[in-house]
Amino acid sequence: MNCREAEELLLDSLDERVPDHVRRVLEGHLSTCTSCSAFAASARAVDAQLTAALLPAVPPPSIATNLRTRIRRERRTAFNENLPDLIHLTGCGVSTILCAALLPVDPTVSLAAGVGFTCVSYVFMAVVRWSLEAAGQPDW
Amino acid sequence: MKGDVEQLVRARKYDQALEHILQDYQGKVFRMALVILRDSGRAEEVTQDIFLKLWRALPAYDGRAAVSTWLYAIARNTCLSAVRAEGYRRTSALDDVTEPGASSTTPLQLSVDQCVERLPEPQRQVITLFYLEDRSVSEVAAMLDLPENTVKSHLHRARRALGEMMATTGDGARK
Repeated sequence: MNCREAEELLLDSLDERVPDHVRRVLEGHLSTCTSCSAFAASARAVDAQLTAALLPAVPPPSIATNLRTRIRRERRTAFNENLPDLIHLTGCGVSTILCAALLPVDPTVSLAAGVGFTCVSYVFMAVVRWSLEAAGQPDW
Repeated sequence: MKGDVEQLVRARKYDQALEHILQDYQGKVFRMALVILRDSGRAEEVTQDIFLKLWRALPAYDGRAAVSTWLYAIARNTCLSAVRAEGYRRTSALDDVTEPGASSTTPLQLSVDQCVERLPEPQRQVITLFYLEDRSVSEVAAMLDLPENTVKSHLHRARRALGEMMATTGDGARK
């Protein structure tokens, strides 16, 4: 083993466990080479100081708490944003069913007309909303 | 872990899935953000952003990649966006920092932390995460999306540079 290999192996041994027989060869080289021995002492000192200085930071509990609050807020916002759609679809659905049940025409005609009106009005509403958003108006 | 989260996502129990991930990865993601952003307050905010993005994306999780791979990708991108968007580099501190290995005007006052700060960015991130994450080369490689050999190479270079810095600063490097 030459000095360059010994240095690399020594640094490897600080990163992860090296096999015992390799470690024995390394220690054998270090015991006979003063420059590698000095390098080993320096590298191990650096390792010890880093281990002592870089202690794992514990995340503050507020991370989880604030995250849950933000998720609740986002869920509420999502519900509010979907509320017009919900009202529209519910209103159209109820109206269609009432028309099919009460009007003196074939219920399938009422249902088809109701579905058609719902789709057209939904597209119209989406276009108006998209236009308002594009114009920078607040959400409705 | 992957199986647990996948099952919860399949059952559309996104909040429970998030709690699982939060429990296992909150510390790692926070430390990663801390290493990249170098500010605990900002790291806390960005950690919340990362998990919020994950929660939004959970319905799309199909279990093909490990949760950690997915989470670390979100974390890296969010941290880098934060750095870019806010010009978050500590430009003022850079005035005090010389090139790695260069001599300082007050070498005896350098702590280990200051020596680490003088390392080039990739080496600083790798060596800091290595010691913060229980000396795991594979974990650091996963966090930074680097091959393990590249992580080892950064570690070797960083140790050599730190050895030289500490040799010139003598006992001043001891904390």
